[in-house]
Amino acid sequence: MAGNRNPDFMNGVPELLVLRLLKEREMYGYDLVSAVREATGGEIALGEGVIYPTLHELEAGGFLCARRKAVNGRTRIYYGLTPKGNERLKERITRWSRLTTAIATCMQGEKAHGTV
Amino acid sequence: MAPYDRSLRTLRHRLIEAGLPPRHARRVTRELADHHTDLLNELAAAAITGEDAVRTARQRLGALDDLEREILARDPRRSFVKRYPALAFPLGLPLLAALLVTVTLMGTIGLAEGLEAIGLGGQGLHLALVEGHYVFAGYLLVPLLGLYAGWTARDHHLAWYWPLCAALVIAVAGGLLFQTTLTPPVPGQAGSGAYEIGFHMADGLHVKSLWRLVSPFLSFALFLLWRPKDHMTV
Repeated sequence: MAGNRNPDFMNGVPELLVLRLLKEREMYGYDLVSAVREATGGEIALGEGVIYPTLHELEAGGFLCARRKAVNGRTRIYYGLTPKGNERLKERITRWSRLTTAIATCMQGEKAHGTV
Repeated sequence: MAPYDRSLRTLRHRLIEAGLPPRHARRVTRELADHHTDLLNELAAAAITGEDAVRTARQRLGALDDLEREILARDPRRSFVKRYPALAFPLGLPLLAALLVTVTLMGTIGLAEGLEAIGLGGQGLHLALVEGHYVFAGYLLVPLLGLYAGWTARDHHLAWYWPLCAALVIAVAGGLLFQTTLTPPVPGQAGSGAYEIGFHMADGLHVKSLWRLVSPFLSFALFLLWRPKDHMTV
């Protein structure tokens, strides 16, 4: 992290959530947005249209695979995680953990200062 | 057409203009349209209908201008044909035409050789092949390329002169092909092939030369008559 001057703090959140949720099962856009809302208890509500550029960027990078699937008479594009995407998820989780640990440490320091 | 469909059509047009591959642009807008429908269904289940539902669904999906910016910034896919029409049409399509004629010719020769090997076809068919009549047969498929060129230009919102340019190059190159002679190898003797370039002028313009000159334009002309005018820029 030391060399990274501009960590994609909130920018990386949709990607992290998308990768994490798609690890569980294949989903289409609307399904995924609903899953994010549910998994985060409504704390994170993604701009729903913006999910698609995120999905397509990950697909173009080989992290996701997309396939058409007919469900209840409607054809949807389902996204799933590729092995490369799984590696990306691990890397993102590590980065996120380091970031949250760093922030938590910082917050604890502030708390300590406050009690002195 | 519903207002949101019209907005998505505009978005698709702008994405293609910006160089996103048409197929992908269609997919993006189809996904957004499906999402919009899902939102309307969800809102209807919550007893929100009519204008309120439409407005809420649009707000949740986000402004299309912002989406367009986001899509173009994040999606690396760009159409080669849109970026380099000068390469794709006057060079790429004539090469494709040459490939098409060659593959058709080789396939036809292979078929005739196979038929002859099993005792079908006979010498007459074989002679017809080596005299090059089947180059002409291969050329019967070339008008399809004119159609493909026109369709590609329309799909990419490119100017009409690009497919015309491709048709012109194919016509000149094909018209100049005077005669092709191929002699297949036989035991003890190597095969040979020869291309002669020039126009057949001895007894007027030869029907095959005429076909090679005209055929690339035929389907393109049909396409020009058929094309919806709002899809092609001049």
